[in-house]
Amino acid sequence: MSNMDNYNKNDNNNKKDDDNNRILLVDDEVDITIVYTMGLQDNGFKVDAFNDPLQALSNFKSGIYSLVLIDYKMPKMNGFELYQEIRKVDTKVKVCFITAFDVYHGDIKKEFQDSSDSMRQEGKEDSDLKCIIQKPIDLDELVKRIKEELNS
Amino acid sequence: MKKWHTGKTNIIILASVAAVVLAVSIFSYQYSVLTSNRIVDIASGEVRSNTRIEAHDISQILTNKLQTVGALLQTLADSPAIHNNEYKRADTVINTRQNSSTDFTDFYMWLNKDGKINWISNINQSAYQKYKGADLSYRPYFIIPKQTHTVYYSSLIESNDKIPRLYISYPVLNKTGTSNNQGRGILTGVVVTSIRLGTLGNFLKDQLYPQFNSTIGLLDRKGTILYTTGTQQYAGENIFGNKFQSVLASSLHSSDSKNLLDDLIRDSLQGNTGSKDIPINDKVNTIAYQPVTVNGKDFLILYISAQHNVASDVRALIIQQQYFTILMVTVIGGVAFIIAFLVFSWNKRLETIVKVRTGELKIANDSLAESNQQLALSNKQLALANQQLKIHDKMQNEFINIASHEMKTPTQAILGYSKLIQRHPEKRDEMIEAISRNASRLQRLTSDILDVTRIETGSLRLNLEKFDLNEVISDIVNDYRNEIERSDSDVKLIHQGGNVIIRIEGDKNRLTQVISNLVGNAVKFTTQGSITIKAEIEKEEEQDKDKALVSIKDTGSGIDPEIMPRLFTKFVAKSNAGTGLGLFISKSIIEAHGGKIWALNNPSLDGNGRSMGATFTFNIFLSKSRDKVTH
Repeated sequence: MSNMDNYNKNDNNNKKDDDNNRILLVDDEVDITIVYTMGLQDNGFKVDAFNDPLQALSNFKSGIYSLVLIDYKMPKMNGFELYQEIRKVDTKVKVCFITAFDVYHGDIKKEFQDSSDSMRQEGKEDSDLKCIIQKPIDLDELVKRIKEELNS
Repeated sequence: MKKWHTGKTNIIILASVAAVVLAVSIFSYQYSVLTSNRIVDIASGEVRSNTRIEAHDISQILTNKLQTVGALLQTLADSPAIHNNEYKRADTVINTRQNSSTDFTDFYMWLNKDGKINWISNINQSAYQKYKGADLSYRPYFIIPKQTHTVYYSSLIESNDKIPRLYISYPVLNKTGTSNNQGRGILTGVVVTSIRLGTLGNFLKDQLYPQFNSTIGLLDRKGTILYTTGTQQYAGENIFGNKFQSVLASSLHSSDSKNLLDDLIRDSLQGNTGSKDIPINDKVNTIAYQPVTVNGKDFLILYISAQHNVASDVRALIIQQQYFTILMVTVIGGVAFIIAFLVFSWNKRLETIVKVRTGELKIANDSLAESNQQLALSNKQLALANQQLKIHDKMQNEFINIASHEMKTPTQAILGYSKLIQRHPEKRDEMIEAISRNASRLQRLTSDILDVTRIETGSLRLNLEKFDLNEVISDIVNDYRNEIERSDSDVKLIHQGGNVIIRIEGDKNRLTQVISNLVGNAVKFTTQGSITIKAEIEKEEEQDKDKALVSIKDTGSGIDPEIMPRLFTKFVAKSNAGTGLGLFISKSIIEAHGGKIWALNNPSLDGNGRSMGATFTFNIFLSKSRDKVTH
């Protein structure tokens, strides 16, 4: 496990590589971050993984990530709250939510829509949420979805 | 109120019926009395007038008769044969007179101037020889005409032959010898005629109106009784004599009647005319009296008496009718009363029936209302149950969602590692271990979800057996001690009072699961210090309710006060590797045993207010057998 934790943090040391392959991954489940990180890294992505959303937020910097991949249900701060905080710093980064809930799928979309509306009224631009990834997902499929999102 | 009202109405109606009946009775009676009095008055008036008329008529007839006889006597006295004392011729004249009034007069007689018999009518030779020359000069019928030279009407006279007779006598006066001496002449004799009392009586009797039931009485002016209808036994008696008065006394019950009669007789004897009503033998009689006047002289007094028979009969009839009327009215009233009573009792019965029906309806209504109320209550309960079902349903859905979410995480890990393990053979062992870890987590989760399902569907079955709690605790503590040793932790696991046997009756496996869960949680959240497990007996006032008290005290991080109220609900207290269902399952198992479970943060001991870990406690009934506590 400790090896894999190291593996997790591998990419954090290479932040200066500034391309559109860097992904921020936040999920409270360690096994999930390991598996997703490895799956994405195997496909050429650079991944910064966090199990604590607050920690993820404090390490977040605008313009570094081309995409944030956030687990929706987390203790302390849920995925949407984290997304809103990130949006305050970076208005362009793309976002994908991960959820194990069937019902949350609709909820997330709705919540996201409301938030976007309010943001638009404040004169901020935001993209529509299209990327919701349901657990469990095949790693190849995950990579495919991420790529699609990045190219959209 | 209503009943009273009806009762009052009934009484009023009955009283009205009675009053009407009484009024009709009284009216009928009064009317009858009035009618009867009027009829009686009419009848009595008729009797009175008839009596007076009859008295007047008969008196008139008698007057006429006597005047006729008087006239005959005068013609006799004036006849030349008598004047001239021509005996042979006088004989024929006298006989002729007698023959012309033979129905009334007994005989005619011619007395000479000395009062001796010259001739008696219709008498045979031998009898004539016997009476010829007999001296009757002492008789008033000779003396008075001789002295007064006028006609004389005698009172009753007993003749020599003992036959009571009335006599009329006339003086024979020779006026030729007297010159222009008016009314006076020389008395040459007296002619006399006699009327037998019997003959007079029969005559009077014949004069009575045949259709008028009256009696007749005749008195002379001295009050001597000459005739009374029906009997001659009082003839010759004075009306005021003892014999007749005693008879009157027996007939006249009241002294008033007697006085009335006495007044009447006295009045009549003075020659007055009149009539009076006198009750005799309890019957009203009208007695009319009339003097019989001959030649201007009151000779006799005639009495006609008639009973008010018609009046009495009418009165009796009317009384009968009154009785009949009263009877009829009473019968009608009675019938009316009975009908009224029947109607009322029928009404009352109807009322009672209606009342009973109303009562039944009211009861039915009430029960209906009650049913409605119950229905409403049932509806409410159903709505509540429905709501609870909905809540339950929602909770169930939520549980399924969360459970599926919880299951998807290890599943994702297993799937992910399985894929990665092909690409990264160098990490094969770690990944296999990770897969194993997630698989066992999945297994725990599955097991807990099954338990929750059993609990929530009420199909949690307890296999009861008697066992020593401390023995079970001891095994669990040993297991965890091994685990702690393996993880290099220096947390101490203390089993307090483990040498005491606490015998309980319960599901050994389930209670092991509970204690294991609680100890496991304590181990999970305690990084340093100690975990103390203690089983003791909790004494209750009733010995049967003695309980075993098991507590697990740790020195870990304590329980977040925020989740404390929901500590034993599903998915609230979830540790990293836990399912979040352990405490819920533990609570359900303890409650299924009739016990309770609770958790407290330990009081702070270091003065910083920092929690010194938590204590989970549950109690459970001791075994009910006699030797529940043994050393």
